[in-house]
Amino acid sequence: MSALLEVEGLVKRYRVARGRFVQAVSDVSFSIEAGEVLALVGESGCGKSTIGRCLVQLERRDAGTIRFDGMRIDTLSPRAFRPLRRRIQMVFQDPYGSLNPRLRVEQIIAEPLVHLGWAGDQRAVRARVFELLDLVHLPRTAAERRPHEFSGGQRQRIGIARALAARPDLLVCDEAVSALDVSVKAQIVNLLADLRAELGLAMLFISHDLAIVEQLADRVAVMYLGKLVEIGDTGQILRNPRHPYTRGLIAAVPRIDGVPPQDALLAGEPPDPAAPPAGCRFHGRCPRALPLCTAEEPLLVPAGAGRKAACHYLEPAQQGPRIALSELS
Amino acid sequence: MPLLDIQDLHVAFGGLPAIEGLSFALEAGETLALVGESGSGKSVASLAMLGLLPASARVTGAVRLDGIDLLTLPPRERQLRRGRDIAMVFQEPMTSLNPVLSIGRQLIEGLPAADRETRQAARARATDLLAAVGITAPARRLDEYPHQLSGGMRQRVAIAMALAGRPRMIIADEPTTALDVTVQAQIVALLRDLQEATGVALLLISHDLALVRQMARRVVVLYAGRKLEEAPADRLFAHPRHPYSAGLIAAIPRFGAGRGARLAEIPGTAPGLNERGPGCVFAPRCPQAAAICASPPPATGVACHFAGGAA
Repeated sequence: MSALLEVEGLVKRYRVARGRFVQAVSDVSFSIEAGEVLALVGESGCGKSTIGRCLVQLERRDAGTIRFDGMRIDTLSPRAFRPLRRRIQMVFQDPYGSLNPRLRVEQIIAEPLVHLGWAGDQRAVRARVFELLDLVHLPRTAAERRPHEFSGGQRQRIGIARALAARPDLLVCDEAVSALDVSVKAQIVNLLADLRAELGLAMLFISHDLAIVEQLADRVAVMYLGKLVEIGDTGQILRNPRHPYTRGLIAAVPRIDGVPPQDALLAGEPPDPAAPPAGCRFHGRCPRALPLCTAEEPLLVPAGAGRKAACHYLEPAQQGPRIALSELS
Repeated sequence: MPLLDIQDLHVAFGGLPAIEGLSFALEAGETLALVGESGSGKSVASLAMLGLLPASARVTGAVRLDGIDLLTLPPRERQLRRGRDIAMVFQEPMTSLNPVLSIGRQLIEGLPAADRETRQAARARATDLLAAVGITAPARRLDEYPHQLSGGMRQRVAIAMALAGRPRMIIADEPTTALDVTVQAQIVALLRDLQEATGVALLLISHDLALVRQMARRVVVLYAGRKLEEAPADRLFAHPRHPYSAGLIAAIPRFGAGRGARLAEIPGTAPGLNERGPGCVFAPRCPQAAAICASPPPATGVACHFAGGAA
């Protein structure tokens, strides 16, 4: 059986000046099975959001293929893509900017249904809107109100209800909980976990927050400067990172108690994506970089237990967890 | 005598209370965190201390710096004292940086007269400041402009500018929130090192409990404009006494908890400015709420009828 989503060799460039391009996404491949949650993590500017936007055709890819349910969707015209758009929905970071302030919540949630041709059947639309409000734990009275009457967390619930209206198979969540307060963030993370279990949704969960990724994702893909540097099972990657960048990201997670491995803390910041360094793009910040790393770009190759990593000198594999989890939590 | 002593601070906008009866003190050289979610009043409190609120805000209470109440001083004198003793670091470094002036020019402008007697002395001091905040090739950076720097570098420069006037206290309002995690960790380490080296007091304002845990000795928990609890950080994180503090700490996603671990939620949302009655502001979301919570909670110690007296 083929995967629900298969991305191969995805490239997205932006022109920043005449004749000057930034390769925001550079030859990225991954797949998502039906019902699976894949997290895409990395620092700002690494290209993770661009990938999400390419999947729903908010951006056109420059090279590579995107297959959904076995069908190539990257070559489809916007019109031909429309029927598939129902099956891939997006939840955005900003619950303030992503809802039309002039519409009532019912109109917002029903919008995808109207595009599906439900417009004639007002009763069916209303029944589905109520069902969706129940699903995201908002009172049915919310249908009559407008976005400004709701708090950030409630607005994010409205955005999720809208995304679920057309019964999608894949939800692309772009930093969907990053803008929320701690107490509300927990509510939305739990809601996403429940919805996923209830509805069998697959998700591309784009986030910089590894603690939340750990709780939601089956697999994790780590990006650096437009490239995938490590991908594999969540527990494997977070407990025993084999790429030095993954290790640095994990060390930087702010902890309530316990001390992260200080030797892994990364110095500096990602370089200008318009002029990526030669060889391994991470070599300038890598504590383990050797001459080969500046000369030759490492390929993403199998690194044991179904994972892949792109590094000439991988961190040692499982010798007992490198960072004992009990020290972290 | 504490360096900064806030007594019964009230701030209202158009008759609606944003802060009600906030009191706390900051000792010289100490790090204290004001923690709260959006709408808790934490940023309003810091602006009130500096006298930076718009004229429409009604501010009462006392903000004593070295025993002198800044709120009763004439604006000119208040500005003088504030400028000399208190510096500010904002979430967005460009808030304090001027995009059209070189880094060196901005740093030198902020130096006290004694550090600016000659051009060379001023440049030397500015170079030292950049070096102190971990900027490599500091002498060369003096002639660069903010847009030539990365986000993390800009925040380092903003911190250097805060240090330029040799303040006794820095108010840092979400100093790492706009930065990537790897850079956040660097800025946290920098602030800690600088504090150790210079002995400046730090008032950290943040919603980020993990950051607070790493930096603060003492924590004041704000919710809907009121102080609910104040405690040493170790105590607060191990044994929070207000149900809101407990809920907030439990809701933090713990790295290492494993897949499928469920986060503890606080149901509902914080009340708006016009939804705050005389009773406990947290009662509508509180798992322990009872009839008594409709009456004002204890005015001293933990602001909860069930927390059992003084802190």
